[in-house]
Amino acid sequence: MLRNIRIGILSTIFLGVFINGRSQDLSFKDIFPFIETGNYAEAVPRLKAYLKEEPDDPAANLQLAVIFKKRFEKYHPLNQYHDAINNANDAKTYFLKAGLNIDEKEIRRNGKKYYTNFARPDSRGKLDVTYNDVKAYIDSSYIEIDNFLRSMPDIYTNFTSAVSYYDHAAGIYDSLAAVNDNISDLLISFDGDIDGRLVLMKNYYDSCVYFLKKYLDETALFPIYRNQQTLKTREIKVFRLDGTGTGNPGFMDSTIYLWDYGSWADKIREKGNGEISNLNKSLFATEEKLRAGIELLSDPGKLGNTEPDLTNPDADLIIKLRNYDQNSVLISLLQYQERKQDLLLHELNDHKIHQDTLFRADEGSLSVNYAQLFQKSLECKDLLNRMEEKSQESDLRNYKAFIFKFFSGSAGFRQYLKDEENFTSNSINSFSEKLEDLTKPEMPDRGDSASYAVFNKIRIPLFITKMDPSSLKQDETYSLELLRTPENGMLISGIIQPKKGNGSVNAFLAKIDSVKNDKWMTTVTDSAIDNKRIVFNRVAALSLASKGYAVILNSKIKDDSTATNSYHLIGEDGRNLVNANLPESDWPSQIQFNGNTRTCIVIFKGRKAEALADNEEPFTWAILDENGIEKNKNQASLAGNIAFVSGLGKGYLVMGNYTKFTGPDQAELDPGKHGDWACFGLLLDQEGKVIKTASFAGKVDCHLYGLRMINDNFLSLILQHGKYMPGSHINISRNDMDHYLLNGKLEILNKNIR
Amino acid sequence: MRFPFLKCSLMAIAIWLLSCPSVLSQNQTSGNVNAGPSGAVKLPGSINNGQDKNWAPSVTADGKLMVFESERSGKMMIFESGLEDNGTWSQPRSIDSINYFCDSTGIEGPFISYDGNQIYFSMPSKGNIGNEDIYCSDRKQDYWSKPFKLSPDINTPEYEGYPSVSSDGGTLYFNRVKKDFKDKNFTGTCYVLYYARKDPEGKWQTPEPVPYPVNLHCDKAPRILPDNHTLIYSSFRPGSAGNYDLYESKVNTDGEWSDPEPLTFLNTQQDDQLVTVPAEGKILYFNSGNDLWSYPIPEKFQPQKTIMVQGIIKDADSGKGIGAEISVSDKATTGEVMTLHSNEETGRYSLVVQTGKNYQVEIRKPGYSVNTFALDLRPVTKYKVISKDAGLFHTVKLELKAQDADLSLPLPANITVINRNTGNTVFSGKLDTLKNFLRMELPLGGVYEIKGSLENFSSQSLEINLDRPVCFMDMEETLKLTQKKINVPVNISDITTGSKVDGHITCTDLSRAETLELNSNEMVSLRIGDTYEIEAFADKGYFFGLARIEVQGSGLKLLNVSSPGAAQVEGGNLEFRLTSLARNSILILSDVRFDKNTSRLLQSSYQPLDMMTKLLILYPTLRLEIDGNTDNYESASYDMALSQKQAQCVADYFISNSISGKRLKAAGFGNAHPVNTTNPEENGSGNNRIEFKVLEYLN
Repeated sequence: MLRNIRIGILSTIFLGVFINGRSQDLSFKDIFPFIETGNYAEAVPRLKAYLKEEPDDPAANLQLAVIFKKRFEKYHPLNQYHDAINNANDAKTYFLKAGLNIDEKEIRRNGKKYYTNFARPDSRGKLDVTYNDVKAYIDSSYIEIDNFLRSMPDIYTNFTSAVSYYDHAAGIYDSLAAVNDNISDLLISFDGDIDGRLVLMKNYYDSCVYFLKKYLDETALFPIYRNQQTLKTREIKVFRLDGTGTGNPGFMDSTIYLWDYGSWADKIREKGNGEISNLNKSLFATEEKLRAGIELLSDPGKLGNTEPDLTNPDADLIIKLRNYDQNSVLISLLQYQERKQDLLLHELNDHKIHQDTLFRADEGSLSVNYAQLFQKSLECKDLLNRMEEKSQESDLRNYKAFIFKFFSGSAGFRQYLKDEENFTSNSINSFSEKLEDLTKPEMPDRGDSASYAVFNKIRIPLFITKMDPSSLKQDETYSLELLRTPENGMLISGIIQPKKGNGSVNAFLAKIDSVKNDKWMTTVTDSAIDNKRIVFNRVAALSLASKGYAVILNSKIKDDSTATNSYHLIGEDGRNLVNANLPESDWPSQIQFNGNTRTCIVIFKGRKAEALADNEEPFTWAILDENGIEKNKNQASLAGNIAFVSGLGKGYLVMGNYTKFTGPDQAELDPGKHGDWACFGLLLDQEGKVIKTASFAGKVDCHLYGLRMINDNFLSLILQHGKYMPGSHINISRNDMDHYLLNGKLEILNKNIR
Repeated sequence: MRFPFLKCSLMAIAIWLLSCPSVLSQNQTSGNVNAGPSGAVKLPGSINNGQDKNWAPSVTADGKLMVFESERSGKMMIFESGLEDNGTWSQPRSIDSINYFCDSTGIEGPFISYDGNQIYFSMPSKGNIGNEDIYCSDRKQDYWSKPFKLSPDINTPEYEGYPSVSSDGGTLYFNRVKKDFKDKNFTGTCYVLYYARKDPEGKWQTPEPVPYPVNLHCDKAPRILPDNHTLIYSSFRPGSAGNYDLYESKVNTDGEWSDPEPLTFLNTQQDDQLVTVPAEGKILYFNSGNDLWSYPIPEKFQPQKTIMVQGIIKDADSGKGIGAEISVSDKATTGEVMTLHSNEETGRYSLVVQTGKNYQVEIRKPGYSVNTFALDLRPVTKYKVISKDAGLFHTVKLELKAQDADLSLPLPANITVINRNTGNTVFSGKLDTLKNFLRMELPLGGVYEIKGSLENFSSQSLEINLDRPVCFMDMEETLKLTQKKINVPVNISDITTGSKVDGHITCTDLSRAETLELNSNEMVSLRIGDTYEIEAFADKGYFFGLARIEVQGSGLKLLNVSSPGAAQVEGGNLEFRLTSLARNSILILSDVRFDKNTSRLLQSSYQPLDMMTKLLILYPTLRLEIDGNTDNYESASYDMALSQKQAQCVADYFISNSISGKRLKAAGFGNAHPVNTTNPEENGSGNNRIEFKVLEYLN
């Protein structure tokens, strides 16, 4: 030991001679100005160097002790804890050393060395330093520093522990906020992992509070600030706003505001382990039942004759899911499976229907049934589309366990969607084709050839007869239009040029019953026109009405190039109940009565009966009441023809073919780029105002071939390839036709373009 | 050990020999001034072109950009050159905004700040010839700004030169002239090192001399290294190899400096000065002769281990760089360690921090969001560069939804947003339920009250306080509004006897697809403003009842009833009066209707028919006759045929829904049984109808 000390001393002496030769010139007197001016950065190294030569110099030791004490007091006890502690330790050492070497003799001999810190006027006003003052200062400082050194480590440890735990809690909160855009996402994705993190978060927060309280208790006993700090907590109300940030709630401020991560974690866990857990259980159970139901219905052999016990997702389950995830992919999934069950059940019933002996396979009923199945298939497709949109990893992340259990992961789920798309597409195509088969061409009723009815010796053909207006045979009846009545009777409209008379052509209406017995025959004339002036009368349009038949009579008058139109309501007994003149002189191609609104629509197009399909002509529609009073009128322009007119619940539907269509608002309807001919649909309200105009086209020229109105909200439409030619309806193969299914708003539900 | 004293003395001599700069450095560099010291690597020809004199290199902390001084055609100029990815230095580019600003010969000791955002240099003070002052030029988007002189606290009427700024931007080192120094062996100008700190407002404080043991003799050209602790400077002092030699001192947290250590591996008999060291601390750049060189720093002289974080701070919306404050705090205590700023135009910043500690970095700018990240360098022992860009935003993108608190369905709520700080209405409009949300941008700094209201719903408010540090740009909140309700007793009784009947009620809210189930003669809570379809089924032996009602604040309004007299509103109660399934009992379903003169069912017919299907499924023994009746359309035969078709159509519908045709009988009666004989031809007379007559029901 002694040997080592000797080595150290000798080395120090030896080195001291050589090292830069700087310390040998130092004297306490030279250092003094730095001490006096408080320039401790200059003073301390000099004092240390000086002490290397004069290690026991009492004044130098005391000065260093004072400087270190001032430094540790200057340092923030927490933020600069280690510097404060180091300086406090140094101060303690030097105070100890100074205390050992300072006595009354030293003060008497070197009193001036102590003036800086200890001089005070004596009784005579002269500055003096007393040993007692110095001793008292050393003792009190020593105790103060000792207290600091004994108290601060615990305070610091508790403080930094609190800071660290809070930081950890805040870190977990931030990590949850970073991946969840809202609190609902967090809740719906709640699982064991999140639960574990929240438990940890709560523990961290509680530990923070524990250590912070200890810290505050300790600083109450050993104050490190002028005022005691207080602790307050803040509730996290707005996710991703409250509780985020620096993780520093002002630990060194007078009031520490902690975000209450603990209560927040408790709240989330309570919901997660309660409501969300129950929701998941219900979700899993429902899915299992739905799957079982679908499996059973997919295999009629298993089902036998028993009624399947099908599951519908509980409304409460859907509401709860929606509460956390408004557009949840699982809501769509459950609804899809529910509809698929329904679809499968209907398909099964469809088979049963055909086995029922009492069932009359009426085309109307069949089409209603297929339309329902088609719409269910469409709903399935729509739900699949919704699922497709929500099948990204980020969407499925919230349902990890569910997706894993039932689909073996997100890839499996996407494969499921593909498979179901095939199923749904097949259903849609199958029902669409069935509806297509049930959609027959709108063939004009040509009646029964060689069949006649006789009214007062006038023989009326019960079939459409050829007629050339320029070469009519006198007294011969020409049947121009036939209208089947619901009781299987027939209304015949036609013309006759009697031998007797002025050579004018008369229009007639005749009615036969279901066994072709004559009921009545009547001549239709416009009472407002002098009969002598009539050249040619003809029933241009005919419709069933509530009290008989609504008829538009077209009359050509001598010496007048324009024709006159009149509305007639012919009663069931053949009497003319209403005769109203119409202002339009164009050819009235259609009349359609709407029982719901008790109005009828009359369509005028062009000047002649023979539609000039290729030329653009005015196209007018007027709404008449039962008395023939015109309520409203609209005009468009059409190169094409009118093929179908129907009354709807609250309006009318007009369909036809066109190459050019300009609506009342002057907007042109585009027939598409594949051909000149397409089909148009015109949806009108009960006043005849246009609600919607739509075009239905194929890859080539096409025109309306067949239409079935299954109800007022479902139409099946067949287009035939080729330009429209009057009377061109022939039997065609499926390859020569396109098929559309439309809703009541003329929106396309499905199309099959070939 | 027999001669410990001798051994110790020899060791001390050896240490002294190592610390004595002249001995080794003379050997290394004597007669080889232009070749550079042994082990040094001359920078490539792009910098050292063999013609121009280059010196005073200074590099950024990442070592990727160097500025240096070069004499070109007799003019002192500053150039910058970048370190390419392949390790070569790019062709130097004149920094014209400085070079054309300065007098031809006066530029001295350029120093590029470690983040690359400023160049400090000294030059003769404009308008005060003979004295040098320190100037600074800021980096702009594509150029350097016109230089500006530092404040009078730094620049006195005397000489100030050779600036160097710590990597945190907080301390400036430079030198002034020491006037009273006398040494017969020293013929040059004696200098003293100063340092000045920046106050929190960014103003340089009064400089002070770097304390003991620096500045004991003549010291100049300080270069503070990126660790902010190690200072390399030129010193003339006993033991120097030439006039000025390079020395290194380190400062501790108390501001005390270590004894200067000579850079013996570099010092020559010439004046040695102005080395530069990137943050990695492994190599230094210096000039020897007319060229710039690099040299690996012996471990003993390497600065403290640091890492560097660098990146660009952008406005998240515009993508443009912005100046922001970067505050680094100690994670252990939350106490601030340093604060620096990104470039105002480019947003570029570099942060050099010592390893071994755990830091939190916070980037902030008034009016913008806060971006924070942790930098745990406790386990880090090696230098590395971390790239960290940050986008600060000044508006929060709030996606607001409103939903029914009970049903979780979206609501078209009226939304009002008021900034409480200003009282201004920031937004007022209706939430679009098709989109299902409302997206709004709320500027930071405001406290917003968001209120959702809707007729018949209680309103709800939400406070979004953005007058505080905000970290997340996107927020999603949902206002949950509760619809007001009234309680309605729903009773079922026998239409003939009036006696109570047990059964169950299903209330379907047509507005919200909510279905409530209850037993008959119970109370149901219905939503004000909504329309309900209410089905009543007796437990046994009765037809069903179906009513459509509108719930008003004052009570119920009956809109439609499935069959005449089947439901009534009486004193706030909804009373269903059901027809029993006794043989020959008849029920008329008013809503089963056809297109005029056809057997084509209207869409509205399906629901009552579906209910009848449900009844048929519920009571398998029930057999029905379906009777078609018409208005007085036409002839009796016509009406008969039409009514028969319509009745059959209804039967077919049941059959298509799995009801056996054996349980059904369709019959048409035309207008034979008018219910309205007063005016039987009137449309809507009620004559056109489908009746369901019980053929058989076994209870």
